[in-house]
Amino acid sequence: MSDIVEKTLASFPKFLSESLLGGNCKSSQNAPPRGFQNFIKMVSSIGSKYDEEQIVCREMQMLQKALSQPNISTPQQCDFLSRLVFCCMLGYDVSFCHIHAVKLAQKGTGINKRIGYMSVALLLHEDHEMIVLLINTIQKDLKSSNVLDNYVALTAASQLVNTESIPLILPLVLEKLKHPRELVRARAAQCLHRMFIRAPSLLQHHQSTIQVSLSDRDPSVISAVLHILSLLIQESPEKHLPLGESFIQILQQVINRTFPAVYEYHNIPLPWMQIQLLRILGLLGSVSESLSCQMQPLLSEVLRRNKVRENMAYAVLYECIIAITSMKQPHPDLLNEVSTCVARFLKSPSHNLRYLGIKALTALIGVDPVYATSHQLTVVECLDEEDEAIQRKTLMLLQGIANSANVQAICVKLLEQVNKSTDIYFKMETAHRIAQLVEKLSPDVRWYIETMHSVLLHVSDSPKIDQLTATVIKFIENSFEQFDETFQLYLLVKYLGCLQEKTTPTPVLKLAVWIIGKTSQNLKSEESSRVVSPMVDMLSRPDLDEELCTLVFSVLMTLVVREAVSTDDCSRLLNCDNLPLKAAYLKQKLKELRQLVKLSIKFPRLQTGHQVKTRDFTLSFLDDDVAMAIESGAAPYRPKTLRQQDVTNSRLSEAVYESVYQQISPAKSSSTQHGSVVLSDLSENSLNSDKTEHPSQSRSTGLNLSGVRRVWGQDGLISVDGLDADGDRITGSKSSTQGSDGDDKTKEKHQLAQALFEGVSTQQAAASSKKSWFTEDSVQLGSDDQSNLPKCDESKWRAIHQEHQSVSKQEDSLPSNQSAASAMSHDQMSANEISPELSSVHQDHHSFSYHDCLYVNQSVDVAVSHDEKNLLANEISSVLSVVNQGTNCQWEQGSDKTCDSERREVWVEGGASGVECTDSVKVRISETPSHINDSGDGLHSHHHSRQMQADSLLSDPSTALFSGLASQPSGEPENSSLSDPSTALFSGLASQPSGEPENSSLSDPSTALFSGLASQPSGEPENSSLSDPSTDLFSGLASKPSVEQSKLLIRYILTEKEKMVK
Amino acid sequence: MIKAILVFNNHGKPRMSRFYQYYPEDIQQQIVRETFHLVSKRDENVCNFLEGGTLIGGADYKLIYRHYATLYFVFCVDSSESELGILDLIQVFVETLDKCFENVCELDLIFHVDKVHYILAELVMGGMVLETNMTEILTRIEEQNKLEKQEAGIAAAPARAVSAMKEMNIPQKIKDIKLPDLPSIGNLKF
Repeated sequence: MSDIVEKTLASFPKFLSESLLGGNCKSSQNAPPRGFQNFIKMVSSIGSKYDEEQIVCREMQMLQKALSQPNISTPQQCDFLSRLVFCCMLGYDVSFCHIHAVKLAQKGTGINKRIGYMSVALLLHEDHEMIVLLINTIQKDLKSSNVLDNYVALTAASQLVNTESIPLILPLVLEKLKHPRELVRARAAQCLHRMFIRAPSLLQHHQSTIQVSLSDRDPSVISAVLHILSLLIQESPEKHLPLGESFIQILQQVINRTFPAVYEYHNIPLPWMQIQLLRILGLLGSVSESLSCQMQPLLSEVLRRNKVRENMAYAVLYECIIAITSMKQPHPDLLNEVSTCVARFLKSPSHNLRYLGIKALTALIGVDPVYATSHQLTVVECLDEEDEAIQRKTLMLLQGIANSANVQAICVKLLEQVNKSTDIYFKMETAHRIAQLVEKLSPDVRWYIETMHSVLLHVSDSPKIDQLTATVIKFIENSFEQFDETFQLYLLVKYLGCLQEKTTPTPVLKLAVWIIGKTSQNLKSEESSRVVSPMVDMLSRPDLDEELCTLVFSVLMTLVVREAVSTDDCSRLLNCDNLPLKAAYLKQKLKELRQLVKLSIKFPRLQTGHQVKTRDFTLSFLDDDVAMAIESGAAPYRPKTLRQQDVTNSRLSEAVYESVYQQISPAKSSSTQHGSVVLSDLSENSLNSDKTEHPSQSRSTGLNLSGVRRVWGQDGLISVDGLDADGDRITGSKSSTQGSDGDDKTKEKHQLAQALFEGVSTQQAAASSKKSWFTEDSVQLGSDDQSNLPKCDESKWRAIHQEHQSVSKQEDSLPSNQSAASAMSHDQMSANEISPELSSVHQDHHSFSYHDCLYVNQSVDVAVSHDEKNLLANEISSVLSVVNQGTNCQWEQGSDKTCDSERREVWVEGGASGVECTDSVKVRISETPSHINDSGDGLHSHHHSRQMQADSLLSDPSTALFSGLASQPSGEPENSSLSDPSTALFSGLASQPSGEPENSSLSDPSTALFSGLASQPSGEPENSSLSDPSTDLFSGLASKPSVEQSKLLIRYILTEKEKMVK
Repeated sequence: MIKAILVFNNHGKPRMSRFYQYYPEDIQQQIVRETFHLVSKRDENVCNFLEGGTLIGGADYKLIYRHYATLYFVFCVDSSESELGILDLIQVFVETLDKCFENVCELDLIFHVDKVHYILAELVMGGMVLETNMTEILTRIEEQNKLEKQEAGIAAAPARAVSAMKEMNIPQKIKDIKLPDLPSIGNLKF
């Protein structure tokens, strides 16, 4: 109580003096209503946000009620609106009062109208729906004769008119440019500026009207018009060069003080307009040499005139410096003047001026870095400035003066800043700057790596960090060729260390994992656990980054395939089941990896990435399958049509083939001594195989080229000899039953034989035409052929195969459904197996795109040479067919759908591009592909019906792929026949399958596939004997996976056939 | 271009805000908070320019501010504005306010929001700096006040007289009571 009394007493003298002495009646005149005061008092006395909310909400409810009363007076309305503006500023929703604000603007007069407009401007925005209600009012007020109404309406129009309504208002505003009061003219010009920002197209039409206003006698109008023109000039300085002179004149007038003295600020005439003019002149000067010459004396005068120690003078000075540095070819004297001015800024004790000084210096060294030398010390001081803003500007300056000599020092400084700063965006920006500098100017790679490493460590929590990692990876990728072994080792050791540290942030981990994959050939086997265990640890982290995880899998696969890590470690570590992998495709990856590890334990010598010396061309791995199948009661393989032929027919067709063979062999044997030896061996072999009881026992040949012959035997000869043998022994009963309708068939056979001979005769002609240069080639290449051909170690292959067999037996022993699944996943695994290899062959393209299939697709694109493409196409198609199986099977089980369909699509794409390239080969026997295509379809439909899935997508690609697969053998000989003698044989052989379908018109699909697949491995030797770059690829690809694939495919086909027969 | 003009006190309570570019209300609040956060931790002896802050314009965004006793005046501008020019514009603004309200205080900005915005509209329109002639602005405000008086005199003279007598000293009272929080800012360094 006493407090209040005291306060009242204390205020008494003041009250007396004010009222008695008449003073000013400010307090009475401006006294806000009591309600508002109480409200403000309550709000400001409250500490907690909650209480404030309570009070404000109560107040707003009250205001809403009060405003909606019909008999509310205008001053009250103004008062309430002011309160609501305050509420709005505090962040409360006051949308209920919008209509009242609009009403007040519509109905109020004078000061009340102004408050109405103001509240509309503060509460609404130009695209608000209620603005439509206001357009009419604005129009009315613009037409009014009252200056004040015009004035408020223009102010409102500048903010509240939306783009659609601009045409309604624009004519009225343009009219106001000619208003007698400069107040209105200036407002009108400002309003136009705003409108033209929103609707730039309108500006073009009224440019001349606006330019007239440039010669207004009132500086405020000129200033407003300058805003509009600078919009235009920023857009296209070249177009507005004619205006340059008038700008120079205006600036001249300004500094000559021809405008009224009231416009001076701290003795500087029209400083804001000067700034504007200097900016515009700088823009124009940057495109026109003549204009910049013209303005140079004026600018130097501006420099000289602004020597007063006033902020505003410095502001003008700074703009002048920027204008001079941005113009074309500034005069050296002028630049020297600028340099001294910059020195004034830099030496000033004011932080603001130093800040601008650094900025000015940055602009100046853009013209010539020499000017930086005189300010070295100041710059260094500014670097240690405690003000962050100045520091940042100085860093920009440093970046400007960076060259190869000082880049190291500068980067160290920049890094320090990154380290110190807490602003994440600044950090990121600086990190990118460092990356640019380092990439451009780095003296050596090691330093680059070190710097980028520390940068990454510093900014690892930034959102755009991946860009930065990508830059580093790109850099290493590009220059990896030049890295010597010690450097690679250095990289490996460095990032191995990173991998083992628990605190390494994820982006760095990604880089580390990638680099380890890249440099894995330097990895010593004793280090393998050091590599694998942190990676597996990574996988078991709960906060696992999925990208990192996929990358880890890819790299681990590469490591396993390259034998860079010991597989024991891998299997031990990977077999722990507590890996928290959520995504289905990651689980799939893990499974694949496990299978791969399992496989690589079994096939230790088959590691790709090394030159493969031994290949199994005898397809001996099929023996056991075939044997098993036959033992278990399956019918031995025979083409479908041939099954219905009698023995005589088969003999006839045998004769046909024999003749074909003999026609080719003379050509062959005449070519080279060696070739003939081989051929004779081959023919012996074929004879042997004819006589052998069981196909599986017919693989006894240690000769180098025997594989070639044998392969053909697999498809071509087996269809002939097999008929013979099988017809006699195994399906003898069948053939005897067929013999009854032999007479009808004999005619057919003759026709067929005739047709065949026709084909062969043309074949022969072609062969003889080529004879001459075959001989030449063979002389050169014959011996090489022999030495380069890989040796076939059959026993080992058999051992391997048996091992593998045992695995599949195990699988078979599982319940049928499960075994199918595991077999499929196995298939898919081996399909995926190729991808790490491909990636290694193609220098890890797309190491960061995590779907393996992309590797392959990429590889198809990259493989330029035809051979590579052919091979890849074949590879992919065979893989696809396997994947298809896997996919369908998986679908049946309802597991992850998207992942695999995606993968398959990519395969399909890859296959398609392969098909493209094979199509371009002139296919000698054009019917072949179509036949096989058909059979492919046929096979597919089996497949399809088995899966019982109506997947339309599947049928198309598979057709394409089968055709790609099929056209392969026919295309290949053409391609390779140019190079060496063995090819001639091939071309002969290759014609065989083409003949066969004709012979056995629409034979079993499996035949076609057999021929396609079998000729594939046989194509390898000649390719590997050529010393072209494709060799690597071949060796990488052709060994295990392709054999694996074909085996899988063949096995699949066998089971298919079995079903069919049944 | 000036994107926004913000005035808040030492506790970050907004006292006046004007956006020349539309932002939704919640973003506006965020901008005020972020700006206060950035500005309030600056020392007195550093420059009045500040880069950073992400809400308004990203990299092309600067804060130019002045600190008067309890109030921060912050102009958020893009790179096309002259830093020192804006700094002096703030000065002009505060001087004009001071002359208009005689020892302007925080509450004047709230109670006379219309006049404050009117003055501001004389300095900045649509985000562009207008010719700034303080004397002329003051003359115009005088004109306005006269007009207001005339209108008030005709329309509500008796009522106003009564309320004037009643509430004569209230603003002064508020100023006295809240002295530690709301000191006058008029006679401070310029």
